[in-house]
Amino acid sequence: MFIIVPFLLGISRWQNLTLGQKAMFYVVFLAVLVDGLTMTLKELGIQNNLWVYHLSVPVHWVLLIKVFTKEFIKPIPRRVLNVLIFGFTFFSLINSTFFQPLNELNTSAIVFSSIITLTLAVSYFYGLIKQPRFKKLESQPMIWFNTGLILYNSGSLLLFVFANFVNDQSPDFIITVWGLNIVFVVLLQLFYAVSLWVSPQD
Amino acid sequence: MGESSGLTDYRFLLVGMLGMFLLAIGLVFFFLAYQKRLLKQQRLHQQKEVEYQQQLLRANLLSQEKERNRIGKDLHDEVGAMLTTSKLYFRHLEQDAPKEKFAELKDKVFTLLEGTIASVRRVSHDLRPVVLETLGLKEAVANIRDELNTSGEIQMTFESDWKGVMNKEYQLNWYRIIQELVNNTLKHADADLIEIEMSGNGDHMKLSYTDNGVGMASGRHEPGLGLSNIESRLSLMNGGLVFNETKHGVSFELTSKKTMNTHEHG
Repeated sequence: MFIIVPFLLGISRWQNLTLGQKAMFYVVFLAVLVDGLTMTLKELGIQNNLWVYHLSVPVHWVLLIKVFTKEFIKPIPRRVLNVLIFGFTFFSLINSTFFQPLNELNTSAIVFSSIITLTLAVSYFYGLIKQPRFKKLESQPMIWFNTGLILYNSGSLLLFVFANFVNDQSPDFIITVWGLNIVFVVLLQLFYAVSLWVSPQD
Repeated sequence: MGESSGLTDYRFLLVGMLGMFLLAIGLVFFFLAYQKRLLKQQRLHQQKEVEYQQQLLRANLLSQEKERNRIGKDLHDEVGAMLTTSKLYFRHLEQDAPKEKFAELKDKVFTLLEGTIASVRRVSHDLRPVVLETLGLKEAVANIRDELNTSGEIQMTFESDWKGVMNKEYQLNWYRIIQELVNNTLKHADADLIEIEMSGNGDHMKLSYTDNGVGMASGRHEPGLGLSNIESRLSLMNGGLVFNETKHGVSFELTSKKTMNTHEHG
């Protein structure tokens, strides 16, 4: 439900958003769509809605790459972009077809995307350390967005690595670790909200 | 047993997740702190750069004023005085005056006018060195050497294996720099030897300047305006100045990076 906060912020500030912020908003918009779809399916009594994630994970990945493309100091070469986008989509497709079918959570794709997202996010910070370009860090949307990505993906990475193991454990175990994941999600949404709230100033 | 193992895994996973999360927080804080430090350093650097530029600009303006004052003084004290005296002589120069007195006054006026012409030529030469204009930098420096050596008060050696092309602006800058260095030596150093070497090519020029005087440590040099002017001119030519340690006298190495953005030969 927390996803509604950055979504509404993005809608209300749409005219004032930069291109980078608009790319960030599409990530938020996808999350709203996924949340809405899974909740609707649940309301309709369809128990297995995990196939939604098989679709959303590659799309989310492409949208994230778009954000990094707009915000990276040195443009990512076209060849690397193609490898990242098409390579991951291909991997995701193979994974959904042969290894983790649509009635299972596609944890391999999620873990893989988390690791590469973390790599890109840390690279972005490293690039800024090598070549500082902002005088007011707090007013830079990408700083907030990137921080959210680093915190969420670091916190949740192990959960998705051991997701199959977790789901075989006791309900207390499952509720606790997935509850912790929800805390990280809320935190991510807060950072998304701030990244759509601030007006970039150099 | 199985329950105990599940509890251990549960703890392991929770600690792992929280540990990763805390590591990420640490990473973000490190980035922010480091970035703030870099920005602070950048700000200080920019501030110093601005102060340095202001200092150069101030030195430049002061130097211009000093030069104007000198020219004004030269014109007033020499040319003006001689012309005024000439005017007085002319007043007494009458056709019906005795022939001897007329000839005497005419000679005096003639001498005064010659002096005036020489003064005007000297002032004009100071403003636009003719040798530099016509023969180039090497000959102009050689001219300074010859004048100093003729004076007998100080000896100057000048060697040049500089080969390249230099525009008039650069030539004038280098000439003024050398003049400034020589003047400093003459005024403050008590030296009896100046050595100048010019080297380099079209991409850069290097000038080594040494004298055997009392050196900078004596405090008798004029580090403010003179050196600021030199630095100002060098910075216009993308160059710099380095002091070399010497037991006696001063030793400078001056460089300019670009000398070829031009069509005229030096």
